[in-house]
Amino acid sequence: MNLTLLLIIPLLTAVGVLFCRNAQQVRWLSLAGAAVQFILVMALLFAFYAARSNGNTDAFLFSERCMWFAPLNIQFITGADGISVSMLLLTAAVVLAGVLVSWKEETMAKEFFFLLHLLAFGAYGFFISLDVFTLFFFLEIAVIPKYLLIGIWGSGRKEYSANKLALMLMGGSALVLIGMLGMYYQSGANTFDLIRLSEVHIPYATQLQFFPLLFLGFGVFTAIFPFHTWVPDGHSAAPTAGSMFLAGISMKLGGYGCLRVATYLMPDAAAYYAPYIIGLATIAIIYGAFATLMQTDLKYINAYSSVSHCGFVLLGIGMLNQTAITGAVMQMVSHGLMTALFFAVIGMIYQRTHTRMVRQMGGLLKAMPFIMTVFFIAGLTSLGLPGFSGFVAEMTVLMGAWQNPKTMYRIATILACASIVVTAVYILRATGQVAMGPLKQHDEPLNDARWYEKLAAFILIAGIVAIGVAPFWLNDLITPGAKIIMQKIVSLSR
Amino acid sequence: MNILQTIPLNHYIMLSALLFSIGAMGVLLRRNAIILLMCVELMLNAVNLLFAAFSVHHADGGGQVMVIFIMTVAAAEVAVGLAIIVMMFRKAGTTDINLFDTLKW
Amino acid sequence: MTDLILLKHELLLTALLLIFILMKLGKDISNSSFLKMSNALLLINFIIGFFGNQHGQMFASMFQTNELMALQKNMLNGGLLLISLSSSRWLNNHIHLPEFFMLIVATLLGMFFMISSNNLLVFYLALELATIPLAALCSFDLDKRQSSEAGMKMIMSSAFASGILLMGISLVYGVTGTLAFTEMSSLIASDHLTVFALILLFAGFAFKLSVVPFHLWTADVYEGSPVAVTSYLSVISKGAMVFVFTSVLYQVFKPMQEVMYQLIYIGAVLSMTIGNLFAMRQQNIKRFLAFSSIAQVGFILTGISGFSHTGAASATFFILVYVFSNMAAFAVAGIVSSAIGRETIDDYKGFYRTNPFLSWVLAIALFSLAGIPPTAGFFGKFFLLSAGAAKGNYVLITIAALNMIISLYYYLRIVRAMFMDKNETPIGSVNLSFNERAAIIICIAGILISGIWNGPFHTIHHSVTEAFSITPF
Repeated sequence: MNLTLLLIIPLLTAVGVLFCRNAQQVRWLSLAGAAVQFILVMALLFAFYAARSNGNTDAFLFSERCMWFAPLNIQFITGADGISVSMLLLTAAVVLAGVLVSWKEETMAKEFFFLLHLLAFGAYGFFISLDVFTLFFFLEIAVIPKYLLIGIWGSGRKEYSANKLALMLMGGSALVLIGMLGMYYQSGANTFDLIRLSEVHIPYATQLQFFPLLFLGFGVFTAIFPFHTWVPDGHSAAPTAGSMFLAGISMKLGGYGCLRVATYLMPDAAAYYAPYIIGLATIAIIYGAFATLMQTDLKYINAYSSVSHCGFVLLGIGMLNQTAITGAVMQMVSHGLMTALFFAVIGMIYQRTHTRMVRQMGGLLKAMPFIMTVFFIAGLTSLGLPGFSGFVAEMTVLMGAWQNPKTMYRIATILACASIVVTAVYILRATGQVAMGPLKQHDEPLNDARWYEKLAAFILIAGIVAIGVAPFWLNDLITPGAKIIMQKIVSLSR
Repeated sequence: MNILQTIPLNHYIMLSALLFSIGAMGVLLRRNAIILLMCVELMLNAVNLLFAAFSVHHADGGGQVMVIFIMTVAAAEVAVGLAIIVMMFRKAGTTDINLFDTLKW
Repeated sequence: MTDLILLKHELLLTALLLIFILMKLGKDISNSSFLKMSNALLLINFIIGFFGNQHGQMFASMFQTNELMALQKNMLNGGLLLISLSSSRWLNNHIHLPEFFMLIVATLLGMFFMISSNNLLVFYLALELATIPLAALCSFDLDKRQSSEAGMKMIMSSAFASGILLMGISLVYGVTGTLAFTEMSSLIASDHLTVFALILLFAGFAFKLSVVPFHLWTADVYEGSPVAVTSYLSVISKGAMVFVFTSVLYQVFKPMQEVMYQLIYIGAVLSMTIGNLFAMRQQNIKRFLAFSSIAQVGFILTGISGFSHTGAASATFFILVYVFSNMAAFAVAGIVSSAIGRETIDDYKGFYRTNPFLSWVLAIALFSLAGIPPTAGFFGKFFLLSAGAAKGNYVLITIAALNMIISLYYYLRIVRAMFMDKNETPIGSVNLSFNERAAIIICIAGILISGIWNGPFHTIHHSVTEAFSITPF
């Protein structure tokens, strides 16, 4: 299985889109590209299982390397472990759904789909690279398409939100840049090679100095507490597919980076800073949940609840034990699917009612039963109903967190648990108002979902249910990866 | 022995530093474009003096060659500078650089 | 006589200069045919530049050349060709077209000698040859008062700068008793007078490079000059100075690295910060690019401060990237300015509706200047910062990284104006001529390819290593 294919297909699709003659061609080409990516990732998943069951216990499978800039010892290394494969699955599903949801995008369709695929290209590259430089390269590639997507096709205060998002994310990557340069020179290894760096023991002082930079830098992408402010604005201003990509994929780049680069390479510092991480994560969870209570705009509701849910990811990472880290990765996948579904369905509702305000809607269940059912499913996943992925993931994180006997960690865990109740309040309130009651007047007759919308919803729901009902396949996928990270933490931090 | 060589090197350095500073202050403080060019000339000549002094001090011809070239180049510089000042005078009717303010400094 | 091949680049330019003079003296040629011929000649000159490069010294070691210098000269040659192509619209309508080429080739000749100089005398003469015609070029929009004003400010500040530089040179001469770089580097010791001389020399350099606090002339001159000259000043002239900076000061003042580091450190921090802060509030696009180029110099200095082969290589590589990126930006600004006559950032609102191609070009160029992957600017900036970080001064790297965010803010301002803002009266659709199209496509291809493909960086790094092992310092 050649991982580079995952880079070539999105790139070819993106370039191909530019040469299309009309919106119809653009759509079908995009769909074809996304479908091929999805199939590839599925093939990768099975190849991965096959290799593992054949007794291949390498940390990273399908690894390939070539020298890129020899004088600086920058290499292009690809490889995947269970964590990256699960992130790739998420990416492929969200890309496919995103393309389907924006089927009727007519204004500047070419540019729109080009940017979508460029974003996907960045995400794929990020998840498969095993060299910090390449990782950083792909991380930054994904920023500008987001800016343009929000700024051109967005709604509301789109210029402001786009600017805020681009600058905050670039700020995050600037921190990552300093951190990685520091790691390059101070580790004594003079390499960006992740595997090589994980073998050397980076001096404790260096770790303490550069871990916060790397963690905060990636943390900005995943809405770590004081730097979460781009999330609500960015998500609410973005077009539907943009929000889906942003919440479903882009925020996961940060979590993955925190885990793969910061925590994996600098375990000592991770142990040292763990209380701070947990503190920030708990604040994010609580604050996100309560901020959501105040919102009346469906997109803002989902954006703030994303802050809360991503807090669980950071909480899991900060707990530094195997269950919690596995849970964190599961939460990333689950939240990605769930929030993409949520944004997709909000987009569908908005297209028909031309409003996102909860108060201006009501009784939609009668008018569009399919969309409302999807809306329910997304909501129930978000509040953690058993049978859907959200429950499994948050449960795993909390179980892992509870293993930690320190009082402060206990309090954090209890607070995080409590936030689920708040989640239930706002989700049930919103779904109730939107779906039940008398049907409010709207300008146009409301029609139910089209085939492409149904297909998009179906793909995402299939993922959610597959994780919710039978979590073991995902758990088995992630656990070995988490184990490797844990081994470093246990072996190095006395 | 030449009378000039009996003067210690330090005196030359002091003098040329003084001249250079006068020139530099002139460039920074005076507002007439032609006087500005003259002040630059003063700076260059201070350097020339220094070059000549060092040349004698080191008994090396290079410095004096440098002096000749500096004078030549300075002449070229002033020629172009004056041409531009004339052009400016035609358009603005003045050589006061404070009034050349269509581009803000 | 076989030695003359060492002088190839300079001889070619001299021949060009003579041909231009003869063409001017001869029969009246129409502007368009003159432009065609000159572009062909510049192209030939550019191509020949790649062949038969050797290393060696001439004229009693006053002149030296090697593969790195040949490479740098080729880059500048290419830049000149790009300028001539991209500003063909403005050139075509100018009554003194042949003089433009004579002057610009003369300055380029000066820069070549400057790069190759191995003696302070040659260096000074070359510097003046590179500067004085530039002042005439700045005032080349003969009927515009702003242009003459720019020329005036250029000649005044450059004369002042060369005065300071000369003072530095004379003090160095006084300390070492020689003008030749080769002997000088072994005689230099770090005493007070030499430090003073070094500061003066650095100030002279800083003037030409427009390092803050010696940048005051830059914005005015850039704004007032014709766009072709502005792009020449900001790309070629600056690039040549950076080359000289890396090769000369690196080697001659090696014993004084610590002092140099302090100077470069201060210069880099000030240039980045001040340049960026001022760029944020500019309205005129040329003025805006002027301040952004001041900030870029700060980044280059960050890379140079590493004092390593990688540092020199990354600075050279960045100039290559900078040639493509800045030239693309100036090409669009120049085409719009000469076709429509509008130069403020607000004029670019709604530009995408009328000129999608030019908008993408400008956007990609700005992204490259901001250092966004996959453009070459990302690699350039990354290498510079990585070379700077080798010194272990993470304060400098942090300041540079923060400045990258500020710079992104103002580059995005233009992108936003072009793609997102609405405008009642957008700039009309511009038809591109073949030359302009060619120049733009070359620039964009350069931006997109020269980073991801590792060839250019490897070549530059290789020749830097070669060059530093050959020169007898």
